Amino acid sequence: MPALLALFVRYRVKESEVWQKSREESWSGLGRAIVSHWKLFLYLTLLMTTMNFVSHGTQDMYPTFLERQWHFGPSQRSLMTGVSMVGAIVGSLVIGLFSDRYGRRRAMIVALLGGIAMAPLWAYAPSTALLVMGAFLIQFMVQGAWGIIPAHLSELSPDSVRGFMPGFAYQCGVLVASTVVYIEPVLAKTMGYA
Amino acid sequence: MSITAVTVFALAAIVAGAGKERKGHVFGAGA
Repeated sequence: MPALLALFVRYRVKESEVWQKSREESWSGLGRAIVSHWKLFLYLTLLMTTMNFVSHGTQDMYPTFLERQWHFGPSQRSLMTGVSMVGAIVGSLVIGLFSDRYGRRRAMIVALLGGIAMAPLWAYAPSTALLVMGAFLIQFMVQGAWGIIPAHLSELSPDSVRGFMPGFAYQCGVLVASTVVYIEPVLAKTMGYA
Repeated sequence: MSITAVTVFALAAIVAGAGKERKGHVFGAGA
């Protein structure tokens, strides 16, 4: 099936009109186009760095937090992760629709400020029911903001570098934010998980 | 974790707000 799909794409799917008009004929042309948009590239990298800090910061150590602070077993931890991912799906739907109507930046700011409002419930829930609610709501906000990212990066990138700039800046942001893997356990050790 | 989370969320919100939504920049417009 994948091979048939590849053949179908090769012979039936046409390149977009935008690409036809803005295609780069050489690597040097692509390089010049990127250099001419270096400020945008730095901004997108910074945006992706902070967004990766937000998502990894709320997910990587969460099962460990549940295990050590709440003494949850594997099945409870996986259930909580499932609940938080349902929150992520619902959040990306709701915040995504909000962004279509009111703007990408506004929607991301609202979602991230919503994340701040949810942080105490997420980290210091006094009961299991509120813990579940906090897990749902924090990922509602985080992934709500994240759901806008693909459209936002593409819309910010000029036609001439749209195939390269969003993905490259995204991965550069991931590279910078990979330090979070070290920072998280250090902070958890010194400040606690909650 | 909570104080750190609030700081990181606030930083991300500031960065997100600092960007620009390009007016008049439409797919295929040749920008």
